[in-house]
Amino acid sequence: MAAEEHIFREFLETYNRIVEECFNRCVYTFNYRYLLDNEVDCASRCTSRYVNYNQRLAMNFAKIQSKKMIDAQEQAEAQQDPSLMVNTQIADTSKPS
Amino acid sequence: MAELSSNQLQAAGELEIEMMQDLYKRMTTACHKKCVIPRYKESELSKGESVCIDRCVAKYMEVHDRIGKQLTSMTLQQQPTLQAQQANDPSRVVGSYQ
Repeated sequence: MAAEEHIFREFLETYNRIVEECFNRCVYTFNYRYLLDNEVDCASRCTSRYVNYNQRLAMNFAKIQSKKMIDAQEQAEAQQDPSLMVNTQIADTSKPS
Repeated sequence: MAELSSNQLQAAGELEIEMMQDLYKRMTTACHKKCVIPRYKESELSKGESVCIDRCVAKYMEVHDRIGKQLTSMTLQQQPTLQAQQANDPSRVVGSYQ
């Protein structure tokens, strides 16, 4: 349940950030109290693009993180069993006993 | 609609207050940047600045509502896609990019 709340909280924070960014970028005139049509269109396009940006960022981050984890795992396995060290070069800093 | 326990309702209420505070803070920064001219010959707000601030608040809240509706509909649209993705491969990154 705490994880869901965490995700929901993150969603709400992103929501506020989107509102601020898209307001700053899209709303430019204060001659009228109401939003102009092009400001409304700009805001909706800005929102979609921000969401796509977030998704792509998350995808790249997850890819790099998983690659890091796999590399770290391979290194750990190679250190435990040196016969596995075929192609990976590891800086061996252990002192002789 | 799922029923929320009183604890969850309280947490949701606190979260809403926190988000309103965050919204207020961002709106303050945004409207200051848009409306208050960095020229400090006098300490009073000019009439133009005052009118701008009134309209800025109205517009910011309207943008807030519209984007809220759009995000809700986007999330609801993605729900079946997300569930299907998660059913097929739970280790995949959530969200579709094409």
